Amino acid sequence: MPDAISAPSPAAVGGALRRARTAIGLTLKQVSEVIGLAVSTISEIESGKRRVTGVELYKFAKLYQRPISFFLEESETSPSFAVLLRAASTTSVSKQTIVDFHELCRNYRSLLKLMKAPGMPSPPDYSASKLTTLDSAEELAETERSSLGLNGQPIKDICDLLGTKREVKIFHLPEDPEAFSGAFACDEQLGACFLINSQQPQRRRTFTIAHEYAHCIAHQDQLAHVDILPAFETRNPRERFANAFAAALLMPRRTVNEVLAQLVTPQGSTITAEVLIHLAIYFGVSFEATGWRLVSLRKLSLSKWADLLSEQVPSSPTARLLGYRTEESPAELLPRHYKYLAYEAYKTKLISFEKLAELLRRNYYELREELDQESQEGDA
Amino acid sequence: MSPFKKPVILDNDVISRLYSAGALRRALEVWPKRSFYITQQVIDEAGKWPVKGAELVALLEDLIASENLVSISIDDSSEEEIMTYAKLQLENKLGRGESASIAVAFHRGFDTATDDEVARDVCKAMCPAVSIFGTGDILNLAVRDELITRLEADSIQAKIRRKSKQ
Repeated sequence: MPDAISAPSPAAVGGALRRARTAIGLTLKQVSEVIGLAVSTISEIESGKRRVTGVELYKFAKLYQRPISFFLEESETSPSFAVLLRAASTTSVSKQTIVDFHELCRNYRSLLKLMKAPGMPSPPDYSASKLTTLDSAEELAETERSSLGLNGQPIKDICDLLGTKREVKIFHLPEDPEAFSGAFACDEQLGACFLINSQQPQRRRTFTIAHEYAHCIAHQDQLAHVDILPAFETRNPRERFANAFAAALLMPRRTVNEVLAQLVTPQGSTITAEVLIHLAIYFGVSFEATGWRLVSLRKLSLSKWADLLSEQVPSSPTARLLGYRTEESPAELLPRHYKYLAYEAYKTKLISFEKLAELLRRNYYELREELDQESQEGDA
Repeated sequence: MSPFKKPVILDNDVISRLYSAGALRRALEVWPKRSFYITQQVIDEAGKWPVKGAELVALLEDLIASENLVSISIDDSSEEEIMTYAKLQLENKLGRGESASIAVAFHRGFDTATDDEVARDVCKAMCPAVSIFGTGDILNLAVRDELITRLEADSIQAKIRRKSKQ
């Protein structure tokens, strides 16, 4: 007989059950109807007055779409995800997506622990400085670029950069592209975690990640935040700050000036749609983000930018000819480092193949077939 | 009379290997009925396999209809089964399907079949009363009981080796 589970106290399990229930927005009455327990019994379980049985726990876990281990090992609460779930109830991101995101972040933490991965520096916390001005955003972005060892070059892969150098856990999940762009959560339990809408174009996703990073380092005291859509003209000071930081992180002033100097001759040529397209490709950002960056650097007037915006440049044949693609590669759900850790855990026999498939969110049989095929091709 | 002392629960691993070698039906139907069990989790996972899932599930259902396989679910498990399942899950080493198979085997007096080394090790350590068979054991026992020939067993093993070198 396996040793008995050293389960947390009834109060801890009850608390985890209550959080899991409210996370997906179910009432006690709704749970009662599905599980077949009286509302008063569920209430007693949640308050720790009555110990939950294993069979009941299994039913709760199934209904709340959490692994059973969530209720038995989650002795600590994740304050940032509690904030995120509250925010989700007033925004367009679904609670189910946040729950899913939470599970992925917990898996990542387990993998780091299992593989004894060396710790990396966490994102710095500048929230005490109460930074709000656009100049401070520019300055902070320069500081971060320098700290990340970027000098002036464009960021090739922001997910990899922040994942490997700042241990930011970045996951992409599908949501309505017109209603949600991204969110961050950061606390001691899970570290910095970003959720990015995979349904948005790649260039926009890049900007969203930089935007969330701004919130993560400048507004870490908030613990979590949900962004609806990247509104470049927002009046909210925190959002303006995050936009300015993201633009400066992705398109550093000095490099913009250098590239512009090669494209715009002193003989009087102006900034055209083609120049913007070239810059957008160079920095891996959207046409729109590039235009706003040039406006903020006073390289482009607002009226000229308004004209260019109305021309539908990104989808034009000229943009395609210059190499600007709007139909881009789909987002990877999982960070590369997460996948690497999971595969290494499997290769070193720390987890089973079925566990590997679960961690990678892949079907067991499909993954087995793929890896078998690869092995045969290797032999051939 | 089955040479297995107890019914054997098959996990994804064994199902996948035998199916990939085109030998799932043959390897199971030679045995007395109700020798092998399968959890609903395994059937559900097979059903989610794009392209080939429907064919595999149809085959499993066929084997269930002929009682060469018996379907069981952890949903109707006892308190003890659920707690063992939870304990296995807390190890963070096994998938939900194999945890369910081992927990059910342990409490219902069954044995289990898997080739996954990690699953075998966890089962041995946490549920030592459960005997663990591999795909090779099932085939070799069938040869011993003259249910299939050595030539046929070797041919199936060779196909499995060719297909799965992980």
